[in-house]
Amino acid sequence: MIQALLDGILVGSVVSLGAIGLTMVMHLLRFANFSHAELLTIGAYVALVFDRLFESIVPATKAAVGPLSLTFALFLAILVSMVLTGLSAVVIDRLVFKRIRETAGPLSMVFASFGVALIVRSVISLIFGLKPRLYSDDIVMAVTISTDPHLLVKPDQVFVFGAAVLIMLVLHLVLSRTTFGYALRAVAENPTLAQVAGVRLSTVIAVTWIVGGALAGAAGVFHALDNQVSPVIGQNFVLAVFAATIAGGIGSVYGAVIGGFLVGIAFGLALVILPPGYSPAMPFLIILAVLFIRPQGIFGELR
Amino acid sequence: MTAPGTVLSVDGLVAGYVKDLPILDRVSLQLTERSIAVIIGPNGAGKSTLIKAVAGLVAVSDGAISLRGRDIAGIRPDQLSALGISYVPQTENIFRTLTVRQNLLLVLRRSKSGARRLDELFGLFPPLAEKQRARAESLSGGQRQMLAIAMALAIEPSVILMDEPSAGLSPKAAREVLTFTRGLTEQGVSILLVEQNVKQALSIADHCYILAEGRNQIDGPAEKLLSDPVVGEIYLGGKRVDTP
Repeated sequence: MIQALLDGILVGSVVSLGAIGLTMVMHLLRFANFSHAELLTIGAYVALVFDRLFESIVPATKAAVGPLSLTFALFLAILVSMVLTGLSAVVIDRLVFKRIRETAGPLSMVFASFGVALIVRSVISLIFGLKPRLYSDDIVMAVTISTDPHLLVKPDQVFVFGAAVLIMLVLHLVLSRTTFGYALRAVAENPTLAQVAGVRLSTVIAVTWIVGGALAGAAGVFHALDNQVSPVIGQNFVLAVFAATIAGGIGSVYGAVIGGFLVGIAFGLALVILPPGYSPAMPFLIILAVLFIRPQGIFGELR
Repeated sequence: MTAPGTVLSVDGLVAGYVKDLPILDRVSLQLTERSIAVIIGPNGAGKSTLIKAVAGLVAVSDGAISLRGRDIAGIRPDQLSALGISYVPQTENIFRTLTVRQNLLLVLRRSKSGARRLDELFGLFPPLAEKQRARAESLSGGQRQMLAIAMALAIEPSVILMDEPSAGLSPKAAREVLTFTRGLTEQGVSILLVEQNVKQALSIADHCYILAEGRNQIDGPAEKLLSDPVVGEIYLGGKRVDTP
């Protein structure tokens, strides 16, 4: 049971990263972006490409970082992936969502997001194929961190958890301590007043996409690091990310973090408590429970 | 042609929320240096639309808006802020989820003398200084209005557009806000004010424009309109006066 809880927390850190970007975009642009989870897939593949590129240019980067399966090349590739995934989110907005929000309503944006998700998934499948890939063929064994109760954890999982928490901490500091963070929060709360206060709306929207995309990109790599790189990462994560966003309260970054861990833990415990095969239903149950008990989510506000 | 001493000039303005459905029909007004011009009129006259159009929040389809002779019609609201025009909306005029200090720092983020200005603002509004770490949503109605005005003053504007600053306040707080507003002109600020509280607004204003159905109706010195029997009848609840 405690092992399942631990695994759930580790999965939750990845879900949280995905949910933060989704909640920011949903609150700012007032639409449910079903293509957001595809940014995880983009992130995972961008990192794969640059990992191989860095390894071929500088073979020394093939060396693993300490006890991790993560190489120096992949570490650099994660940073590149975050930047490029953030930029790809802006490109998708400029090509699709910006045009639609200028002429149509939020419902059209939701339908468009389904289309974007399908296109991204199909293009990635077309380029890289459907066969899952691995960042590293080396097997890193789990380490016993406690004998009573018996708890195992992989060094990669510890890295992923630490990196995810570090990224969230940086985001927290930006939002709570910088005037740029105040501008992001101001636009999310009242875009008209924010403009009157001298904030350029288009810049904040672009930055929100970049931040959300970068976090989703990191989440995609972190997930693939412990699993596989495949075109269906986004498809597999979309419900979990939405459940975390709704549970935390749309618009609340801190809610998305808590919601992510809640979903991760629920997944982990479902594997132990429920019969096999029922675990994918957990996000639905969480969404339903939240909508019944507290429709605005844990940290959300009623509109 | 803009008259000497005019800070803000609106000429033949046509504007509205929906294309081809204007609310304002060739409205004109002038705001002179260190003065208050108040816009009054019945509900639906287009008072708030006029002030929002000047603030860059409503699309202008015809006419001109100029600041010291510079055409500013169609300029984005964030650019107007950089030109020294502040706007205080009637409602939702502060960021509730930010602290008092964060609200002010947001407006001051591009200012080179932000720290000095912040101290000045807290000196001007001591209750805000006491609550600077509190979330703005915890402020009373009067304090919220105070914060909204402090945010407008933060950029050291030459023009402030105020949409019913006394709305929702107690009579005492409303009087204080309007008296404070009058005091701002002595600091070199010119104010375009929309107000429902006609009597008090006319008592602090220099000039008054009366709008109805999106058009200019009457305008003149506020003092003169305050004693005008027709205006008194229509807007101040006075005795009916038969006009030829």
